Amino acid sequence: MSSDYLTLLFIAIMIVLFIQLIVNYVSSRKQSVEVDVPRKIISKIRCVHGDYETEREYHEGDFVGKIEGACPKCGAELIIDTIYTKYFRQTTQSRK
Amino acid sequence: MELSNSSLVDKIVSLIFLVLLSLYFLTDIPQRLQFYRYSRAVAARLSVIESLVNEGMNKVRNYIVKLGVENPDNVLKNVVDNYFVINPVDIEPIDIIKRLGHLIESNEFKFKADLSRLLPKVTRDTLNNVAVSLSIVSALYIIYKVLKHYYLLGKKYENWILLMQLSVVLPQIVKQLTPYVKAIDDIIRGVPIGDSVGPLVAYKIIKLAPRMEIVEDTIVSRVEIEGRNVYVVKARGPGATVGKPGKAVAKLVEDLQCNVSRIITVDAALKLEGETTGEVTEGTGAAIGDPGPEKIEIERAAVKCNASLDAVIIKMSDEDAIRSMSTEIAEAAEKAYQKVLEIIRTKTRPGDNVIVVGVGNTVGVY
Ligand SMILES: [Zn+2]
Repeated sequence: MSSDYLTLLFIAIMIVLFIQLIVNYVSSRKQSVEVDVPRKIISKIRCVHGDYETEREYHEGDFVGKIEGACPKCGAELIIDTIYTKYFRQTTQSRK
Repeated sequence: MELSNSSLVDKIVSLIFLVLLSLYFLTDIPQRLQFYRYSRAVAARLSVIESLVNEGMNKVRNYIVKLGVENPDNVLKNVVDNYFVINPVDIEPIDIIKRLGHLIESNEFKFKADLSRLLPKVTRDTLNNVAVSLSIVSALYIIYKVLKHYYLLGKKYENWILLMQLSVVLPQIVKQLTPYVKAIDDIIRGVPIGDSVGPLVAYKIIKLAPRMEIVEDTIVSRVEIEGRNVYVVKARGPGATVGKPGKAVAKLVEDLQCNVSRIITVDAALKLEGETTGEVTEGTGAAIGDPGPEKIEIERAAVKCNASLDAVIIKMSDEDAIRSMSTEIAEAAEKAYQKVLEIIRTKTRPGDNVIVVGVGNTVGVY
């Protein structure tokens, strides 16, 4: 009787290992596709006198130090002060 | 009946185990299977890297087509396999840094000259963007070629240990290379990247003060901060270039007749895993990550003039350094700027000449 149980145990282990082999094979087949982290590029614009500050989305041709018109408060030059990117992290990232 | 059935199953199972065990211990089938698995894993990862290289090439191709090049494939083919630099002889170390510097410089000159011949109508900033994105693509291509070389070598000699090593290290390489391909977009568009933090700090000091091109692609600007003459060196923006900060400092020091009390270098530095991105720290030495020729010029200038050499570094990962500048790093630039001002205020006296070097790629920063 006890040898019967042992046989069953062996067969069960073999089945489990075999299933694991197949699962491994299938999961290695499908490549983990790199997801683009969503992002938004922001140009921060400041008046040279520091009394006015605004942010807008990055336009083609923007660079730090570019003159962007006149300050609505004092009429001095508005300059792009920083260009930075907001990255929005995904909460669930499937990593193998 | 029942008993004989169960004993038959018993016999079959033990026979299977016996066969499997002898296959496992007495043949090299397990090694073959391992070999097959590793080589499949490596081939899959290599094809990912190949598609990364192709993606990068397509981006650059589209860009130079937009700039009016008739046969972009010719340009790409010409660039990706050429312009290697052979390391100078190192068993004779005399003037090795000069030889290395000379080789790097003449290679760069050749590259830029060929490019401007192929793209005669574009501005220098655009040309620098093209040059940097082309060099990223060719670096990716070389990495791909080397990995493929080891893969084929492993297959050729059935060296499963080589394939195993590759299959272990390749996922990491794929993850490290992906940001480089994405960076091509940002460099083409002229968006500041993480490495631009040094030039950004330099910009914060000089704002729009007049710039003088002291050596090729590198500018110097003079501003006064609480009575100190501050000379700020950075690459010439807003095109993508790192300039020649070392040569610029050497020339500047010569022009000032060594009357310099402090040299402050600001650069992005690779953080350790677990350190926070955007941490600003201060140390001593030349913060610049070139193969040597530029760094040694700054060190020599400091020694020659007996000027203190400060390093202000902004910590980030290699991915952060190459992708467009994140919020943390932009904030860190402000902190680094304040730190530089603090060094100037507390460690120099009014009337001193101070040199600040903003090291890094100045893409998107004037
Ligand atoms: Zn204003």
